[in-house]
Amino acid sequence: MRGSSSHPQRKTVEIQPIKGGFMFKILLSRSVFAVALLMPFLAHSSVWENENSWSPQWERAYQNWVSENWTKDYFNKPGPFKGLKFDCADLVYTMRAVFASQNGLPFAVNDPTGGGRLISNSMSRFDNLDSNARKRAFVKYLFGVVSTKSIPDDTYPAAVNRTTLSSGSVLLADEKSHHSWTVRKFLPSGIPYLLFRSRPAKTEMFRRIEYPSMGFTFPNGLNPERHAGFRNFRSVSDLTKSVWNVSGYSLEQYQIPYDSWRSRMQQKMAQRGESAEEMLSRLLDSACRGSEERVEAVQEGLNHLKKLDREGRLCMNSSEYDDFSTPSRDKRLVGNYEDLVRSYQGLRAQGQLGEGKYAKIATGLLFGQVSTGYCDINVPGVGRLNLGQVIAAGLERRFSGNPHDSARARWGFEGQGRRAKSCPTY
Amino acid sequence: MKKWLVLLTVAALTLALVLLGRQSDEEKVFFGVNDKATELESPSKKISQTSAGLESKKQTEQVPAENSGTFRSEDLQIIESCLKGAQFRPKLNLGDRLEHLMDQAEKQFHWISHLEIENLHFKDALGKELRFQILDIEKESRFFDVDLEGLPIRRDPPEGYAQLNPKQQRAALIRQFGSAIYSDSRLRLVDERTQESVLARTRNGEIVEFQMFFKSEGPDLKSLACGSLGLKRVQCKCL
Repeated sequence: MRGSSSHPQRKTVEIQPIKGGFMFKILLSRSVFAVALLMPFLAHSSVWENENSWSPQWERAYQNWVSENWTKDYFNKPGPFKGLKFDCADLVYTMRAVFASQNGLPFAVNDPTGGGRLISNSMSRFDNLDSNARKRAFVKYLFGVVSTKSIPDDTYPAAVNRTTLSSGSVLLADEKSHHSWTVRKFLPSGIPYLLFRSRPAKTEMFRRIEYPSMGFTFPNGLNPERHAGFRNFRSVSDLTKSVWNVSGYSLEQYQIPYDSWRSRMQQKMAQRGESAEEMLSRLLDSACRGSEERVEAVQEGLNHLKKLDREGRLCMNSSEYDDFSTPSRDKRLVGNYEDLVRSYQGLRAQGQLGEGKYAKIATGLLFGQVSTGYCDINVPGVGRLNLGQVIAAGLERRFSGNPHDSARARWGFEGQGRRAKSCPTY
Repeated sequence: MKKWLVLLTVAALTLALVLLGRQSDEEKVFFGVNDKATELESPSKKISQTSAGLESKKQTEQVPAENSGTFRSEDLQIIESCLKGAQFRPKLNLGDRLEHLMDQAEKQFHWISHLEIENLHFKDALGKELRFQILDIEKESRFFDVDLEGLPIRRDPPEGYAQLNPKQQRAALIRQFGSAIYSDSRLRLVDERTQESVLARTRNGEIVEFQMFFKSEGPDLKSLACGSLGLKRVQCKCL
């Protein structure tokens, strides 16, 4: 069952001079000839060969690679992984697998289907493909097997400092939220630069520079048995162990009080403080990007609704509904808006708001809901909205995550439509 | 009241019934065919103790998990010193198994329990293995064949799966598969008053991992962990 090696041990055969009679030599040489003929059929090709093994130096190289190369458009660049479509958990595993494949390092995960073996680059299923196609096929294979639910078995919760948490770490949300992020890096201010993807699976990543809301990341509280929080990949030899036996395992994240978790995490990870303007710029950027990404997500749902119309169907099935509904995204986005408002109010109450560019933009958007020229958004079926109007709709819980709703209902400018009322939700 | 054991036993009994090709009430409950709330049907619902579950315990012979074992004296010492000052005071003896620790924890707290069955494996009449992975009982399940290396191969759900009512799908599907040969699950217990919690993992109905999170003297979170994963015997650790 568990514990089977992920790396086949290569047997070395010592060649001895042939002893014995003439007939024996002929028989033996014919056997060797037959084996030689069969070799192409017996040969076993790993997805890639293990030329190196993980070490502290390779872990640092992995962190540097993620920090410098792991960008939103990584999968648009030439290479074996170009154009891959992934969801949030796929991306987490791919980050590690891509680096391992490029550097001849072992990559393995627990078989999440309960088979008790490791799924690793040593598997031979893709033997018939060339080197690059094998890597691509392997990563695509992983997509069909892994999920946010399997991440706890392949990672461990780490202590909170800049040595233990770094580029290449992972942030996992509670199972209830079904989400995960990759950490590109931690900024000097202690804020994580996150890259991620949501459903439906696509090639582009989303970027977020923040600690996601507590309500989304820890909806069941800050409890270690839920596995949510920052985590690192386990070494291959640690995969079959209980998580508490994994080297580096730490409960430090769960020692921090829930209400101050994000600010304490930021303090622990910070190399310097964050100014009011930096904070507002970051929070406005998160709100803006999240809103723009929601436009795209809602539009995909509306396009799918038109497809249903063409097919003469009224309602989406559970899988379609899962792909095109946005309750989790909306929850995260409203969390961003709340962060912006809370931070703005905090800075103002402490007299630290100042009169900088972003303080003025935030004031205009949050109080006047007027266009400040910052992040006006074109919403098909609704019109041009300023960010303040979108934020207000979100904070008033007017967004609809139901993909059967119209554009205006999705953005909170009218109530739930007849189609949404009559179709099942999942 | 061994709620966790009841649940596990119901699960194990159901597997046994599938094995025998019978369709009993328990099977219906387990796979959510009827309207009774079950943990498989809704993992977040509180585990309820049923008479069917208690009876089933007697009928079910559980298959010991590989590497399972019993506590040795050093384990008992670790448990005792780890729990100094904690509310949890288990009474354990040499030779007791992880189940006993779980029993004791279950007795001493007011838990809300969540059981999630994660994988079920079946073998058909020709010996072909099929795996059923439950990601989200209401929304997402995956189906796998197994290759020569013992690794999963994703396969399409049975025909018509997406269009059927999920409850009917699951039941019909499971009955088609053949003999149940393996299951694993995750069990979470949370005491809402004290915020103490337990995470356990089972294989074929037997506990292979137990981890309790608690606060004793001082504000720091502590953990007692015992398990046999990747080991030849049970090992305990205080964290």
